[in-house]
This record gives sequence, C-alpha cells and structure tokens, in this order.
Amino acid sequence: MNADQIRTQLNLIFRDVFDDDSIQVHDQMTARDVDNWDSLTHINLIVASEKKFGVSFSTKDIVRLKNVGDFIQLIQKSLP
Amino acid sequence: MQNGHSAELDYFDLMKKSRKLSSSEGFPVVRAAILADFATQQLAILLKTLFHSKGVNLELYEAEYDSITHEVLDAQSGLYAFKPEQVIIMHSVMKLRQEFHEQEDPTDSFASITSEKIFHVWDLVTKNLPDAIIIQGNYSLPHERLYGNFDQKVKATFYRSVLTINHLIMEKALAHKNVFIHDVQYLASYAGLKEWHDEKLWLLSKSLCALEHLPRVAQNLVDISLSFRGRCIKCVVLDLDNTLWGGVIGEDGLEGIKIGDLDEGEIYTKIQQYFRALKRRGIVLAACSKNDAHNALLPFQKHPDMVLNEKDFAVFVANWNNKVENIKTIQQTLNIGFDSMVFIDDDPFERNLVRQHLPEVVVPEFPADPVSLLRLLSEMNLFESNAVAKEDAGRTEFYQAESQRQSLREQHASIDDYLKSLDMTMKIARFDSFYLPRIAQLIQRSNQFNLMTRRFSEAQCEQMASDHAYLPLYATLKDKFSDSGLISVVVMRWEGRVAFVEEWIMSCRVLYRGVEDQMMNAVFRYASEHGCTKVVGQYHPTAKNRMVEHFYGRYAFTPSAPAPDGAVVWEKEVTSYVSKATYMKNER
Repeated sequence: MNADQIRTQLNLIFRDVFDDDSIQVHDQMTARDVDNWDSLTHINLIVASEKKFGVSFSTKDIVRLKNVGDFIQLIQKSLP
Repeated sequence: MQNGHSAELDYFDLMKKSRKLSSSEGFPVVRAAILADFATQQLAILLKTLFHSKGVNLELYEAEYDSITHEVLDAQSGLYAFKPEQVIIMHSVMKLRQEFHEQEDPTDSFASITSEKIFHVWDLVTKNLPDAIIIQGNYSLPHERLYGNFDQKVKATFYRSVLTINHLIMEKALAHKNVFIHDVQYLASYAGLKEWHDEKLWLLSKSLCALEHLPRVAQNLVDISLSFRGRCIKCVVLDLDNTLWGGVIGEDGLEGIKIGDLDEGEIYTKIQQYFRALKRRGIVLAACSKNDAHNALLPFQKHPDMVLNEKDFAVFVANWNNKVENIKTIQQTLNIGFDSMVFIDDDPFERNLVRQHLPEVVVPEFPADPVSLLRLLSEMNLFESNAVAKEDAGRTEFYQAESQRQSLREQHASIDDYLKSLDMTMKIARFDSFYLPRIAQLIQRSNQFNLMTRRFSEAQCEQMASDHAYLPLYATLKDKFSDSGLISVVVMRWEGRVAFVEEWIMSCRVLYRGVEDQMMNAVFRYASEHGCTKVVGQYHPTAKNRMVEHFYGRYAFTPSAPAPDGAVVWEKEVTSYVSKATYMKNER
C-alpha cells in the first residue's frame, strides 16, 4: 500500500472517529487543526487504525508522532 | 434486541452511537458517581450509551483522574454535593503495580494495607451518603509471577497480593450491606488476561484495559445498577425438543431422545442441571412447546435420565398454538412483565417471531452447537441479582398454588365465597431483622403495585426499623394452598398529628385477595392509635405503576392537583375512614 492509499483509508478512519464527513487529512495536519482531537479521540484513532490496518504500533513510535504525515509513514512501516 | 450479545458491545460502534442518542425525555434517571485510579472518559461515554439503550438516563458525576481519596475525604467535595444514589469505585491493577513497587521493601502487609484503604473509602462514603450503594470494582490479576506457581505461597509477591486483596474485598463486603462487588476479575479472566490488559494503552492514556473489552466493563456496571431498579429476570420460558433434550419426542419416542448417556445426551443433562439450579435460586421456569401435551410430559414422567421434573415448571404449556400467544398466557398466569422473561428456543423461526411481537422479552441466540448454550447465557449475565431471600427457592410452588386457586375461583359463585374458602391468614408487623433481606428484595423488584417506587436499600430499611419517627410495616400471607411469605411493605412516618405513607408496595401475586384492604385498615388503626388526625399518601407515576394510579381514590382519599411530573398527594381524615370487609384472620 502506498502513502496515498493509506491516506485515503486513514481519512475514512478520521471521519468515523470524529463523526465528521468534512474532514480531509493532509500530512501537515495536527491535533490543533481538528475540533475534538483530544487525548481520548487520539487513543481511539490509534486503536481504530491498528484494527483497520491489522498492525500494532509500538509505544515508542506512537509517542513520537508529530502529525498525520508521520502517522502515514508509521502505518506504512508497520504493514507486513 | 437486548444488550449482552458480543456483537452489540463493539467499542467503536458504541462510541458512534453515543453521539446520536435519541431524546431521553421521560426516561427514569439513575444518579451515579464514578471514582477511579484510571482514566474514565471512555467508560463514562459507554455507560451513558448503554444505560440509554436500556431506557434509562444516567446522570453521572465523573471524578478527576485518580482523585478517590480527595473526593471521599473532603466533606465539601463534588462527589458529596452531587448526592449520587450509586457510587462506583474502580481500580486498575497497573496502578496498583506502581504502588507495589514504590514500597521500599515488598512486604506481606501490602494486601492488608491496600484493602484497608478501600474499606476506609467505604466508611467515608457511607457516612456522607448514607443512602447510597457502593459498587466496588475488584482487580484483574497481573500476568507476572515472580516465583512462577510458587507465588501462591509467597506472601510478598504482587500476584499473591492481588489475589489476597480481591479475597479481602469479597469477605468484607459480606458485612457491608450497601457494598456490591463489580467483578472485574471475572470479566478479565473470562476474556483472558493476555487480551484484557493493554500495557501500551495504560502508558499512553491510563486505560483500564484494551478498548475492545471496555464495553463489557460498562455493561457489567449497568447490570448491577439496574438490578436496584427492579430490572431483573424472573422467568425462563423453555422450549423442549432440541432445547432440553436432543431430538423430537413426538418422532423419536422416549427411547430415542438424547439425554443422559445416549450419544450427545450429556449436553442436555448439563442444560437441565443449570435450569434446575436457576429454579432453586428463585427463577421460575415455564415450558412452552409445540407438542401434544401428553407427548411433552412423557419424558418428565417416564425418562429415567431426566433432571428436571414436571413440578419444576410453574407453568407447562404444550399445544399447537403459536408461541407468542403461549408466552402471553404464561405472562398472565405469572403476572409479571414481559421484560422480566427470557425465551430459549433452538428454532430461529420461533425466536424471531417472539422478538418481533414481544420485543421486551429477552431472546438469546441459540448456538449451532448446544454445548455452548450455557456459556452464551453466562456471558449475557441475564440473572444479575442483589439479594438472596429464603422464599426464592419456593417461588415455583407459589405459582403452582396460584393456578390451583384459579380453578377454585372458577368453582365458586361469588368472589366473597371464594375468598372465604381460601382460609387466609395475614400478619402485619414492624420491620424485623429476619425479614429485612426479603423486604429489601421486594422493594427492589416491585414495579407495578408500587405507589412511589422509592428503592430503599436494605441498610435504609434497617435504619427505619429502629427509628421511631417511622412505622415501617411488612405483611405476610398464607392460605390453605401455600405460604406466600412476604407480600407487602408499607412505610408510615409520623409528623405531628399526620401519618405520612412514604411507600406502599404489594406483590402482584396476591392481587384481588383483599390484602390491600386489610393493610389500609391497619394503616388507619395505627394512625388512630398514634393520635393522628390525617393520613397522607402519594402516587408517583412511572412507566409501570399505572394500575395503582387511583389506589387512594378507592378509599375515598382527596387528591391534590398533580405536580408537573404527575405526582399526586392524597389525604384523608382518620375519622372519616370506614373499615373494609376482608376475609382473613390476623396473625400477630
């Protein structure tokens, strides 16, 4: 799966978790850009993504995430 | 459909649902507080959502993360100001592990110190919120064992400490009538510790467990909480063929059905044993089978391996009518709500028919392999309860006596003749310690003949029993067919020369026998003896107690204008009361 394909999938997860169909994720996006992106929804995003992509992120990688671009890279790296 | 099925406890589905809850207007309210040493935001959302799907509006006080001590010590805390009816206290084993390792030296006393802290919290909550019940979560077990299996014998290990703490909580709760255990240890071991714990989520967000299991924690709390609102299962309606035995009695015959040693018969032996145990603890069984009555009864009368017998069923219906009609008949005979019935049938057609026409009846799926039926039922936790009463075991016999009474009623020309022929004896007395558990149970369970639906706890009942501002009365009834045990509770309170009736409950099993007339006579007699001039009662409407809306009217009380919530205050001068004729002896 390439970065664009992951971004498309991730967008669906974001829309689902935030219950907002207008969300359009981009690489520079951070928690400041999305209403309701708090620690609770952050965890929901991580766990929903792990489930959807069938992967498990390490704690160390999760705490280092800076923006959506990092997240896409992490998913790509974690995929088998 | 009901909660409890795994499919309905999907974390993300529930999160989504939580944002689209329909209006909870008119829902009964539960006021609860949650105090925990882990982050409770997700749990709070799940609780709200699951209560909502049970038609209950949860008003929740969510304490700050890890603020249990602060909330309970400070008399001015938000917890006490909120005045919850239920206080949920929960702990994470991850947090406990941290505390364990912060000790200078691991000691034997860690378990007792930790549990004493918990008991101190109970004492403080009880002191500040004397009417509240406490729902205390225990610990999931840790996965690490310092000495392996030998941990069981080494007191200072973390694993043994957690086992001990859970044990101490369980023992101590026996002596605290207002404390109930939220058995997280069971939930976690059922799911499997490997799946339950999520160290990563603990580090990132102080989550109790993996998110996928959190709905189970919330559902368990809802089950406990609603058991105090009379939401409990009273009757299991059982199909027979391929449910209580393998095969079809009408076709396979007595020697062909599978039970006991024959082929997979042991599956059904176990199923019958389980339902017999339920019957013994007070859940009423009813049979509902598409069969000739003769055929349906045959195995119970003749098969040597049958565990259940005919007498274990309060109602036995075998005919060719559709099951929806038969369940209605059973419901009327037992005089209970559809929402207190479970229907178990291997036939998907019958299950769907019942779900469609009687949506309140709980209809579990029936597994393709009946060997897993009992596990599925355990997982649904259908029979949550908060008291054990001695009459529980005799409930089936009670309903059987009731159907004998019905046939007697048909033989008598007038209702008065019939009532006389019953040889009834009624006892009315002040609450005493012997009846307290049964009184508390009647208060929790009664929904229909319940004037105010005030759910006094056993501890509150105990208080009223010794408080002379109150005259809390219970009544028992027996007749020539059976001893019905405790059947009514009326709480009177004295204020000057007015006798207030603070609650009036009667078991619907004894409707139309004059119990309420006898009780009303007693209320006015006591009021008069106490020098009162007036008796004042109230009716508070709920979704289920319409049958007593005009109860006081039948005794010529004068109603007030209804309050906005529909509550009506009724009053009557003591001198204007005319005693009702009844047909029972008094036992003092």
